[in-house]
Amino acid sequence: MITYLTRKSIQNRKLTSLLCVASIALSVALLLGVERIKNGARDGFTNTISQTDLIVGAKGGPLQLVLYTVFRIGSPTNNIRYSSYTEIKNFPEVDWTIPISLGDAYRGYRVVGTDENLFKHYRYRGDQKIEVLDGQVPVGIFDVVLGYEVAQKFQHKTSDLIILSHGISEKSFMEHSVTPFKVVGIMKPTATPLDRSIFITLEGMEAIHLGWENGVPGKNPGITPENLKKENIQIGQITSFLLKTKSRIQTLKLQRKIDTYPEDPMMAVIPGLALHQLWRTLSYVENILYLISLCVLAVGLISVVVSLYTSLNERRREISIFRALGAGAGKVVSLLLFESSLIVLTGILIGTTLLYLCLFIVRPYLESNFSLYLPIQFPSSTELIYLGSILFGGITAGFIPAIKAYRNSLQDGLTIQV
Amino acid sequence: MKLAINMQNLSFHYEDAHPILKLDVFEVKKQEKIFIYGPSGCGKSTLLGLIAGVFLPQQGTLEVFGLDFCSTSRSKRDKIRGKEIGYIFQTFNLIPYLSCLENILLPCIITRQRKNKITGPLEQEAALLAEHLNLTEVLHKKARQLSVGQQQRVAAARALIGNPQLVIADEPTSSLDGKNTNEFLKLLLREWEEKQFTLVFVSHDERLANDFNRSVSLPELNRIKDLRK
Repeated sequence: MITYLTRKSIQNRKLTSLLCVASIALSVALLLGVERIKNGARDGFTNTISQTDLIVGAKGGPLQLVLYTVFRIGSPTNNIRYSSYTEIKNFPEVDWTIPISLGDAYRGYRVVGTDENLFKHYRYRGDQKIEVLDGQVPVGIFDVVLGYEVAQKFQHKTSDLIILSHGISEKSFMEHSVTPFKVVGIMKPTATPLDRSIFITLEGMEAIHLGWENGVPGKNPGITPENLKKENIQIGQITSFLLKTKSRIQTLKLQRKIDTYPEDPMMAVIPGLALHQLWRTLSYVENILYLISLCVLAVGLISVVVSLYTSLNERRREISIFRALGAGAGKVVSLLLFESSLIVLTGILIGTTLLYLCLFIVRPYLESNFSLYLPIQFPSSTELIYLGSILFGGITAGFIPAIKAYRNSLQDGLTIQV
Repeated sequence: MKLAINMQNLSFHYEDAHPILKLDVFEVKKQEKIFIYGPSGCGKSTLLGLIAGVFLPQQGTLEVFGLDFCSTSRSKRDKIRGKEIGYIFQTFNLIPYLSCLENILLPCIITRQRKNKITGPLEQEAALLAEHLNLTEVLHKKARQLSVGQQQRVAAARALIGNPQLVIADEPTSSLDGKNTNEFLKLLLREWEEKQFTLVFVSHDERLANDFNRSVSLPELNRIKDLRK
């Protein structure tokens, strides 16, 4: 009886019911969407680097170390000695290391001096590996591999020659013009800061600064790509390095060992910890988003109550008829409750579907333009709790008109109120 | 002969404690067709609400088909109303978005016991009633598309489906013109001849009383005289 009458009643109030369903659906989609973007942004942020146990650099602020090493934000204050790096690299508990040498830029994009370990060991978003889309990894002194975004922006192809500038500002007057680099590869997009970096070898980084010991171009450069051999270049310093231990349990012990390393003032930072710390300082943005979507949801629920409540006068007549035909007051209540619950439930289902549809459509766009990676996955437990609360809220809200109808029906008896 | 309705020394007031209805004896025999004369504001809706088991008197006896309503639970009374009582309102009897047929079948949808009283196919039963009440052509039209006369006849068909023992008509003709009133009354009484249910017919139009076994004036019956509501 209830399903039959509810179906007919909703059919009768098609437009109003549809609008209610739509407002619930939109607010559900918005709430879940914000949740997804929030999580996507956080995961994207904290998963920029994975499987790295420690980031090691010169003593200073741990957050700064992470920012310049991983995000290429800010500038390093000090370097560490290459000899210290090689020593730590050979510690028995170390699995692999990736050296990072910063300081130069190409048209505003940071140049990263590193070695083949980056391409072998660097992981992001769990177990994603860096891949070279076109070409190969840098081997020669003047080889350069471009991050995807850099290559896209300047329309570079392999075997293009580029000139790096000294320092990290976008407008640099000091260029390494005597030592042009040859593009040997372009990296696959990763939706991480890697896309905005360009990679050369540590030797390359050292080579372009030969004679620059004072921070300005040397008096007699005399250095040409032809007269330099990789074996002849002595690497003096690097900025920082990434490290993975053979067993995670050794991380803390190793951290202490590096922090108290006698020859060189160094520190080691656990990246996950630092990233979470950093994210928390940014979390007010996500809280605002969350608050806005909650407001939208409240409006959606209120619209259901309002529409049911306003239709109540019109229904007072109907309810008297149902009562006369033997429907108890309880049945009248369940009729209204069922209707509001059905509307909310339909809204939730459509809203969730809408979310997945939108995700499916905007995902590639978000990933390429905002470096925001949103996995399409089954609703998380938090999201299920949200959906459950919305359903619960909707049903609770449905009680308001239902109780009013109950009171009316007891009071009216079989009198039809017009 | 057994009584369909038995009210003794009954009094009733709503929550505001202002007395509405007080009567010594009111009895309706089974299969009787009784006319109750009641102008507006004499406690008529209250009386019908009591008979239908929606309200309970604060004092006195109220029995319908021998069942003491005062000691019967609300849901039981709802069930009895659904099963054995047909109710026709003055106006707005129908659910506007349901068809004529669906409106006639509504009691069977709401109360299972009513449905179980019909042995044959439901639709056939409804169609038969519709035929009796000159509604065959409009059977599949939406209620809101019907004329007022047709709507009242649909209401009668709905009250009659499943052969309830008691039919209460609350001013069913007051919204109809003379021609429709006569037709409605004629058809309703013909059904009564055939099915022999108890018919309680309330109207402020005393001219209709001639067609009934007995006529009762509610203002005379009700001992509360200064009813101003």
